[in-house]
Amino acid sequence: MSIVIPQMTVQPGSHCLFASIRTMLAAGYDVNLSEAEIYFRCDGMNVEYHPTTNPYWLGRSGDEMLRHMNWDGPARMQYSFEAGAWSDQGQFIADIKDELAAGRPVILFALSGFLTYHAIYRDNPSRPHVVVLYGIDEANDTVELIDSFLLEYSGEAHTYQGSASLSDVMKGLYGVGFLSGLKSSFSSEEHDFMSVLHERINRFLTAQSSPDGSSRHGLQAYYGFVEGLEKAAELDADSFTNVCKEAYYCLRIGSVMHQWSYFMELVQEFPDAFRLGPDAWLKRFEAEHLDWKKHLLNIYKFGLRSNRSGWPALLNQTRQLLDRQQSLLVQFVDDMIVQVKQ
Amino acid sequence: MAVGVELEDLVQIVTSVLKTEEMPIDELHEDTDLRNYNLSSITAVELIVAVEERYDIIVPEDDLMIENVNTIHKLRQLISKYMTD
Repeated sequence: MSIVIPQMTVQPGSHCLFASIRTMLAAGYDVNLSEAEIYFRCDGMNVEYHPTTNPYWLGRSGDEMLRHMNWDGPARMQYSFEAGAWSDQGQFIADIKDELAAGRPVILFALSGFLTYHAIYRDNPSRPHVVVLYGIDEANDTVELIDSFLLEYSGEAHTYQGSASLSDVMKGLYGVGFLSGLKSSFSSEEHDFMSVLHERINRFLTAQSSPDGSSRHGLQAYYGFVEGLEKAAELDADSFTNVCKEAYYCLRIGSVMHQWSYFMELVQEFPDAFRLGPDAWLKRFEAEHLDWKKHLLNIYKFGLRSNRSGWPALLNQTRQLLDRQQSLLVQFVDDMIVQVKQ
Repeated sequence: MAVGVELEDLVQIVTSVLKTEEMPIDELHEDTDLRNYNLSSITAVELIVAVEERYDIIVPEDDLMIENVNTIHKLRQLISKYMTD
């Protein structure tokens, strides 16, 4: 028997996870939060860097973001990144059907190479991705999906809504999330969200290494990432090129570029929350966004040209951008008008 | 026109980088918007690298945006800027 939540419509997003959570909340509970608010509630800005295990990667795990969303979001979330959660496919599908029957979509974390509904995923390297599942038809081996941020290798973003192969999706699955009810304690008051935002930014600015030194967080994760990238100059040309492409991708998706985009969205959504006003902040964030965009393109170019001799100077520029980011965010926190919980 | 920057050379570089079958090479003129033929922010950098290597120039960070190379005319201007500097 197939089951589909009716009247679902894809909305373009800026990031697959935050756009998917937005879709889930709106469809399941008629709660409308902006992607920016979801990003900050998920603590998306506090990226992690693991110098030993993943020296050329920077990002934020889905597990951590959903944990924060469960804690600071409007609805309780159940989620798992353990394969055991869906190893019994029959039970897993039964659980999904229960959710869909209740009108609540489900988010799936899947490697993009198994999302065979689009050539972009079939033809490019597989990466972690998030989509919303709103229908299933076991007999025909299909699911109905909404993909709000389908990023082409070229940098263009698209959307998709429609059928996909259930078998293929199951092969690429690495996480699942359900919303399991609204929280009575949730406050949608602006000052409560500002309190969350204040805490997030402060933690971004002050977080240090983990006690055992295995990971760095927030702004220090970026500095650590740059330190790690220095070693790439010792690699052979092809490896160096690949590291530059990965660095471009890491900084483009889910880290600094999204941070600036969501700050821009935020000041427009809460125009009275900052003394300088939305226009002044928007201008500053746009300027940072533009400078970082050019810088990331330069990182990519250095990779294409295997320019290892100029690499240290380029990374010094990255550090200068990070110094500026720190300074700007300190000013931003100081500029908040809404009284925050200390 | 900058010395040594021939239209045929630029067309050859553009078609080689963009690898699009839909591009009407015969109809490609100075102001054709290459964003309609696979030019994206990433392929724009690939195009810049190709002209850097062909004309022995270096295009700095500030000029890497797609808006600087989305037509043959702009691409020629960019090359001229760094060939004469």
